Amino acid sequence: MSWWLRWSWRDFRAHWVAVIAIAFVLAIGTGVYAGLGSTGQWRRQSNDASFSALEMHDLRLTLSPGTFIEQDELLGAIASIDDAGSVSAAAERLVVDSQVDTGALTADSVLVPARLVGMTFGSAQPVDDVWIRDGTAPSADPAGRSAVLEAKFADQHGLPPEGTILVSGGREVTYTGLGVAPEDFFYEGPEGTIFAAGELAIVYLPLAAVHDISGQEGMVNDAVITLVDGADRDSVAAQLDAAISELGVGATVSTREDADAVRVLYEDIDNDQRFWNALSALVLFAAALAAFNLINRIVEAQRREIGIGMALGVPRRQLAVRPMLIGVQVAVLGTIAGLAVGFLVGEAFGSLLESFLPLPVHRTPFQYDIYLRAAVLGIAIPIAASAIPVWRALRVEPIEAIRTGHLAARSSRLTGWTGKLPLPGSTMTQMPIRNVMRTPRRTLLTAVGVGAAITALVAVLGMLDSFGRTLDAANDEFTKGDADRVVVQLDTFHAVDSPVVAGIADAGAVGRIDAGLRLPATALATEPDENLDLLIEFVDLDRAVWTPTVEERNATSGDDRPDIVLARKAADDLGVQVGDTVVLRHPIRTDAGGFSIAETPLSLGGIHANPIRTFAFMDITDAGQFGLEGLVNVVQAYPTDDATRSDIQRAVFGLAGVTSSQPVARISEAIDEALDQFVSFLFVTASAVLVLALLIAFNATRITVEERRREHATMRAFGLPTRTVLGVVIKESVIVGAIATVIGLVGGVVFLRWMLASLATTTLPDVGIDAYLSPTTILIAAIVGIASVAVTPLLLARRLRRMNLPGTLRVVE
Amino acid sequence: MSQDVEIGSVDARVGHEGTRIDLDDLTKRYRVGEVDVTALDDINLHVDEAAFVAIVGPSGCGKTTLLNMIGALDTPTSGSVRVAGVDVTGASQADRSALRRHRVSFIFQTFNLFPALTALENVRFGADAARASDPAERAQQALAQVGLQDRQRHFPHQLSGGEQQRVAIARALATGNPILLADEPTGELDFRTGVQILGVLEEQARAGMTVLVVTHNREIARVADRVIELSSGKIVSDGPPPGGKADIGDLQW
Repeated sequence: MSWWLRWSWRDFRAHWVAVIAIAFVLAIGTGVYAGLGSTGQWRRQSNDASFSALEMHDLRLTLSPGTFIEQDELLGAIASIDDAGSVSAAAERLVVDSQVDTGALTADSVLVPARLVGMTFGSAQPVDDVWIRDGTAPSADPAGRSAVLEAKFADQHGLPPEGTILVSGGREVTYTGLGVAPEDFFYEGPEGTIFAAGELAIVYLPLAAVHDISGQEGMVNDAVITLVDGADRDSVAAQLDAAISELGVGATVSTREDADAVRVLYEDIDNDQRFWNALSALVLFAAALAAFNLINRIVEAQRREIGIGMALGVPRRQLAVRPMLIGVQVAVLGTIAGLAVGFLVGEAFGSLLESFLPLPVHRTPFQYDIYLRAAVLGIAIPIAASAIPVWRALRVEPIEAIRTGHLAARSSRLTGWTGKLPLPGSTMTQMPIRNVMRTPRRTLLTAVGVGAAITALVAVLGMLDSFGRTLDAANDEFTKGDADRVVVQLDTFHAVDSPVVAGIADAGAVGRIDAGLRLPATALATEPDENLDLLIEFVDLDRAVWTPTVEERNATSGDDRPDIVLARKAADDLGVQVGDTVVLRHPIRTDAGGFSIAETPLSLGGIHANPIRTFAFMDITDAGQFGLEGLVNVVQAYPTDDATRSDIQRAVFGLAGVTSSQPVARISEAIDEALDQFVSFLFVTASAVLVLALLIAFNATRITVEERRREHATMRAFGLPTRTVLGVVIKESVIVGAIATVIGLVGGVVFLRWMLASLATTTLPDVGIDAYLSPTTILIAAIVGIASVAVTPLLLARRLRRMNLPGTLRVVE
Repeated sequence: MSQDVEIGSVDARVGHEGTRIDLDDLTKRYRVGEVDVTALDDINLHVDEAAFVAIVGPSGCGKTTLLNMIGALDTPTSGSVRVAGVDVTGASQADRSALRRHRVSFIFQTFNLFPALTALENVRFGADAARASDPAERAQQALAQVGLQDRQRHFPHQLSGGEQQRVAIARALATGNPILLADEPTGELDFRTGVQILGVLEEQARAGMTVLVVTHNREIARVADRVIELSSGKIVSDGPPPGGKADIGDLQW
């Protein structure tokens, strides 16, 4: 044993730079796997604990927009169902849209849409309870109008834990604390996107306070329900649906999983985990190749010794021990360092999660099983990678291994073909190409090792590019025509010549308005679970200042069906093309003034430029199909020449019938800001991957230089200066680097597409993100793949200059 | 064989000195661990004109070290080395490279051919390294000189040991350099092939080159014009082969 250890120590001393470099690469791979693998478990456990602590609903009843019902009627309906015993707790709420002005708290007034949630605080059997992060719960006195302000909104705008805000109608609300209900851990913004923190003020108030503010005395429009363990949720939901229908109001019954918070928080875990696992797999793969290349070279260097051992009758498995010990060194060092890296990564990411996710409970237990898996991978990969060249070396007959020129005798079929290929230039120009082609497998292994790191780099940078391009496209479309456009949302449908519309038009700072309609609808897909929620916007396509950019238009609209314009993503998800029919399920206004649900087939008239799937557009003249002719519920307001968008917001704030006003540019700004954190995290990842790529490139080049040292010595013996020899090495590295870059770019695009496809189905289903690599990314990949690999030999110039020429020339390969 | 070469800042007009070698009081010591080893001890050696010189002696006597000194692959501890009229004793690495590029060529025991290049390309490398004006033409001629013109597209691994060494000789010839240093050129070869190689080398000496062959095989030394015997780093004898110069056809080992 001590004999082997002594050998191992000697080999380590001879190759310590390469061993440590590969161990470092391995450490990053196992570290990323262990550290970020743990966060998936942490997030799941934290989510479970947080939803459980706040009694997140199992089912939710939501009345149709603008529909209210007497308090206790919903509870009565719930109690009336056959499976009422399955209901553990239920609570009624009044949820109304409003607007918030934080002008009293900050120098720069924040005017944003708001959602007022009237609920019961301090209930013995709470459902969707509010976690008070800072401050205290509000008092039940409706006159006091005390509330809890949603914490992320307050954080975004730097609001204090207590203060006074204004809601629509100019009413003051005093909030006594900052907190969040479980359904609002993540929520959709006013434009249907999840990037809403800071753009929607959720205010939790006692039910009576919302009665008072909204004027809906004694009314509710929402109920949340928890079920006992083992209850048949689907059955209860169906019974609730029937019970509500009997009340004569439209309502939807949704489940816990329908909530954005649950969808995003849970689905994101698997999605993120896939990304991190794939990234660590790439790094581990690169480390495995690096280990393979190193062991391969060491085995070849020891070939004659192995051959002599075989000739002397030493068992092959015994001869395998020494080179395998190098793999063991890489494995042990890499795994120990990897576990430490994993711990540090986990700590750092755990802190990031605590600040990023507004959960009341954070669980970060040490994940023994994941670390054990990481350790097994860290040990197994380099040893497996080492075993291959060792096995190949031991398959050779002893006489072959001992024979001088054994390595020189090895050649690929490609060598024979390329020998007939005339290459231009001197032999110094031809040699790098010939070298690369002589050992294509080795070239490919080296290139794939570097390429794996570039793949990770390209994928991460490509994510940034793709997001950036999507944001730009959305921003361009939102702000087209006039970036100061303000979208004013009305509380319900008003006649186009109603006082509220006239009031907005006449408000100070407003130069021009375009009144329109927004209507939620569902586009029906072949499979019901693939139906798409849309926000149909009716615009005067002929006269409005802002109209959607239609990129693809149906030139021959063959019938009189009204055209609808969808986002590319929506059309793709529905599997339709321009000219096809889309069936829309939507509310239709009845003669009595209420709404019923109808299904209308529409011709897909075009594809608009906005990448957000939710948006769909129709001409205002088609509103009659929905029973909304002459009615509007949204107004696009444009400032006068001397006014700003903020002036418009102030001017319309408090107007009766106005629920919110939102500068259109803020939507893309909000998305931009919300992505900043994600983007900076990707930048950190990109930097780490860049270092890895350089490390792998250095190691690969170092091995190549080692392998060619006798050829380099021969060149020097023939009087070539070191710089010429270096030039040959650099040219060879450039070729390998170029191959690696191509592999990395192709792999990166594949990896990127896979990531975006995963995102498209889970985290960001509403955004059409096309894989895109910017010229900068391609340039960075080329710099890392070609330039850095090409420059690496310069680091070895000293070694070449100080080469022991006589000694190297006499080495018998 | 007269050429003007620029070696460093010195305009070395070597002229008739192109094949001359002068070693004066040359000593080379190595330190191996804690021990000082004297590889060459106060060597004085002069080769005035083109000749086939054999350096013989037992293993470890300093033969290869002596060859490396002449080829400017190694530097002396003391004494001076002049090759082709150029003092390379304290020359910079660039000057020594220039000397190897334009004055001396090597043949190695293990051939040291470039495995990725064909026979012709290996030979052309020699011409390229010496910056010959027409390297392709010169490579063809050199390969023809060693009788391998029909093997030019073969790679080293497709050639026999003797053919590989002849390619190595052709590579050295393609440089056009006047001094040829061969370190055990027949060491890896069988008798018949070794004789062929010696024939080629002797031919070069007759053509006006200085050919220094290091060998431990005294039989080979019999075909040399001059035999220098080393022992423990010292020259113990220097003169024509004992019994006179033999014909290559008479050799046997």
